[in-house]
Amino acid sequence: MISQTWLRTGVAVLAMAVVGFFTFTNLSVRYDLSFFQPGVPSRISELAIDQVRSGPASRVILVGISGAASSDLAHLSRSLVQALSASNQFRRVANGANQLGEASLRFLFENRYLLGPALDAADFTSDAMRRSITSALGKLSGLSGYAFGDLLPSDPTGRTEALIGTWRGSSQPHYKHGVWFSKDETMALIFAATVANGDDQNGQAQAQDLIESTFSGLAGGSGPRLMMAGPPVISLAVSRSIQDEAWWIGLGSVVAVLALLVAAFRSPVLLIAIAIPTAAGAIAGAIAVQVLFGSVHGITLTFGGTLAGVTSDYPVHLISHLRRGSSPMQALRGIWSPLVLGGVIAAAAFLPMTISSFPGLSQLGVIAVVGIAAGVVATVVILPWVLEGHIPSETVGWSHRIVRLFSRAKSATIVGGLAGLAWLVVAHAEVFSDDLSRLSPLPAQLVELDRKIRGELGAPDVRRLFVVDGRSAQETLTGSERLSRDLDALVRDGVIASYDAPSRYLPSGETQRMRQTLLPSEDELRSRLAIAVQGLPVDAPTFEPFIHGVTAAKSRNPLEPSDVVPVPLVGDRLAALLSNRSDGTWQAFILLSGVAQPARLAEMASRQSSDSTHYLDLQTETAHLVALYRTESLRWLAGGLAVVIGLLFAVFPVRRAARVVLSLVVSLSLTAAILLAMGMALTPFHLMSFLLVAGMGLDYAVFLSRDDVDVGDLQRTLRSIFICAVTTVIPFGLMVISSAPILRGIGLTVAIGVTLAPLTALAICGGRIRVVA
Amino acid sequence: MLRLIVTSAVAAIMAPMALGQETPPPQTSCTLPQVLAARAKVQEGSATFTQERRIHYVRDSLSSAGRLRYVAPDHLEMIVEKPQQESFIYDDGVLSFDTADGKSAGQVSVDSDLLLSAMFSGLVGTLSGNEDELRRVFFVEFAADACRWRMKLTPKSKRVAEKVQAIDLKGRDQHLDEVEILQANGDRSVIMINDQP
Repeated sequence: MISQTWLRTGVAVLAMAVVGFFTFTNLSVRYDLSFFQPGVPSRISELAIDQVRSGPASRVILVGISGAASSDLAHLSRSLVQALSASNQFRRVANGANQLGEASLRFLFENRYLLGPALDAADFTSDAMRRSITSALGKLSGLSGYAFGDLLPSDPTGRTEALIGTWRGSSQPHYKHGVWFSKDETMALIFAATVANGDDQNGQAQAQDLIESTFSGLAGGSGPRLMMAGPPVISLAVSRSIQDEAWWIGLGSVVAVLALLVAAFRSPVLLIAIAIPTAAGAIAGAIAVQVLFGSVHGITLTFGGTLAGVTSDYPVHLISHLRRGSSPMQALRGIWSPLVLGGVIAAAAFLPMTISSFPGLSQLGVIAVVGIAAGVVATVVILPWVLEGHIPSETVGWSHRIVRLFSRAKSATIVGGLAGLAWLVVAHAEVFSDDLSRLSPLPAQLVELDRKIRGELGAPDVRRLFVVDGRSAQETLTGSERLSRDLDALVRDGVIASYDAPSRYLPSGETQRMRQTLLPSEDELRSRLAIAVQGLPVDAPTFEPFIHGVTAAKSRNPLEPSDVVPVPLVGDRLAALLSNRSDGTWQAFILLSGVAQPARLAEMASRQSSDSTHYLDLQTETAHLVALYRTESLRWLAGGLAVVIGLLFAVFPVRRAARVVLSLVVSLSLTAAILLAMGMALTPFHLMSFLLVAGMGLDYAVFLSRDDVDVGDLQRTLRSIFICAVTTVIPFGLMVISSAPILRGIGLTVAIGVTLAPLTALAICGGRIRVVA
Repeated sequence: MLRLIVTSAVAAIMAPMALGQETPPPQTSCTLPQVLAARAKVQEGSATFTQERRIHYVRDSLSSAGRLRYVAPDHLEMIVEKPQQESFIYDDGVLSFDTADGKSAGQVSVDSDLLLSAMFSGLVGTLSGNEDELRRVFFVEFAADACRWRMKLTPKSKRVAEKVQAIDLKGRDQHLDEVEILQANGDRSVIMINDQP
């Protein structure tokens, strides 16, 4: 026969499972840097976040194929590019071969005077034309003459070749068998820009899996190897390895915690009962954030998960205080004040944070307040009903001896904590770190591969770029041209290897009109040509197509982005660097390759920067965002602490409140001091872990600061706190073995903090317990 | 018997080396399969060449000279030495192209230029003795008079035919001596392949 407790537990779990399923399948979860963004972000921070998410460099996968003869690698490279280009996952897949088709070549030829590199009026003098025709006749007699023999009458100055050179790219990778190769010719190189944003995990996984499966289909079993690098590859590899680890750590934690709880309570139904308020807290918190913000950030959700460490304490307290012969309601009444007041005060600590202007902070506040409140409410309302009729096992008494033992260490604990705090204040400068890249465990061989292929291909720098804003495409192109003049100087000086700007492909209308005035008139050109060909084995009328081309270029309307973008292959290059935003404004990206002297680049950038021209150093910008976030979160933490102190003094006698506050301050200072002594700098993720530690520490201190408890109660309270602490320390302690510094940091902080919290609470608060026999 | 050995030895020494280091004894009859089969045996060869080009808009004929090197089955280098240094290396269907002035002209894929593509596939198809490949791209006419043969390749593809009217190859036995390229616009080039110096 199923017991009443099992039945009621089953009903509660089923209800929770249904609500939980609908909640978590309907959440819209985000995974970008916007978590750290201020509510009213600066243009620069907005741009930086956009770039990291979806910037042109963020979606570039660099592919290397090696492990076979170069001709086989070249063949593989061609087949792979062909197959990938046919899929809809990529914006552009290039290996250096066949970049321009017939239609794009014709377009470039027809617009050779308005597009392309700077036009020099000196190229159209009789002397210059004579020189270029003589040189062309020399080439004509050789083999390359076959390729451009038909072109010469239309283009004796060699303009088309220069234009195609521009379109081929600013950097010229090494070629072998007609495709890009590393200089040592052991690796064929491919550049693939995905349709999916750099931070779109699913899209990136699909694109990267497609590259891998297509390659293994083409290459067969052994021999050639495929290697991929680039930001999307690195971030996918990292998140996959973290997911893998998280699964093992999670499994280990669940097994260890379950074993502990079974040993402590000797009742499986109680385990499930503990899960009910914990799940209620997580579900309610997630719903609240989704409703208030329209989406939940991944970091918020992770924090919500770790909040289980706090919310599971409430049912553990209630269950630990169950006694034979009295109902769960009576047990609840016995611990009403520490349980409910402790919960309310913990929730109140996060309340100020909810009104922060930073959505990321505000989300943390909401999920914590609602989660804790829901955990407490579920413990108070649902658990007594579920546990009605449950007969708990009895406990033995040894607790008062522990309390006495710890009370002797009271002064030492206080002195130690304050010393730690003093050290933190003195060492202030080294306490915080805002460099999030230190938290992402980039696999060294992927970073090295990225560096190698990026260098060989001259692919754009991922960290630094310029963004030019404009109300119109023309304004943006003009800005791009202005910046290009300075960048040309930097290329000459070797500060950067090359750069890519939209005006390189499409000059502004103003520049195109200026070029039209530089071109000689029809009659002028004809008479100059007559002089140029004197003594050469060609007649002036041969070049009538040239005169016709120049005359047509002089009178046509300047080209607009809408003329260029639809042209196959050519248009993609421009579209990647020039975008029309939904609000009608335009944006140009100027990408840099081979940045050799970042300091000189930054110096030039600060001279050029204006309302419309922005230099982004994504690493610096990210650190800046995180620093802002950290300052803001410290402010709200201080606010939360003030609320906690106020409430403690309002509801408890002064001495009890003071002991609780002191216990909290000592355990948090010691935790921070230990982390710092271990050489860890505190990031916002550590701060979030401190919130958890504070929540749990508050709970222990409130329970242990009660006066007048009987021996049985003290026993139950100690057992309850021991179970709460150990069940938290185990999962967070396991996170320390993770290879991801972010998980390691959170794990270490919580494990140390929650180990210290009950000990300091015992030492500082426990001394006052008067045991009533 | 001895006479036969001496005759073949002398013939082997005397026979021109053009594009064929391993020189089989001269054949008595030459059909297209026989000529191509003899070519297919040649693994490697070097030669010099001169080229005369007539371009419709240039009054004088343009001449150039250089070296050729072939490695079976599909590697052909044409190095122009005069009047301007240029090198074309055709390998496995791909043409690499460099100019002498150090200014990399990039590399033109053969496919991007129908004329060069047709020319090189005709040349390499003949040098490697690959009849299937020749017949895949061209209509092949072959005539021989006591092993002095002449082969006319006419592009099958209409788009290629708009550029190249025909490629005329002349040779003796397994040797290729002369290539004439007739462009659709009336331009024509004659490449004379000479013995190795």
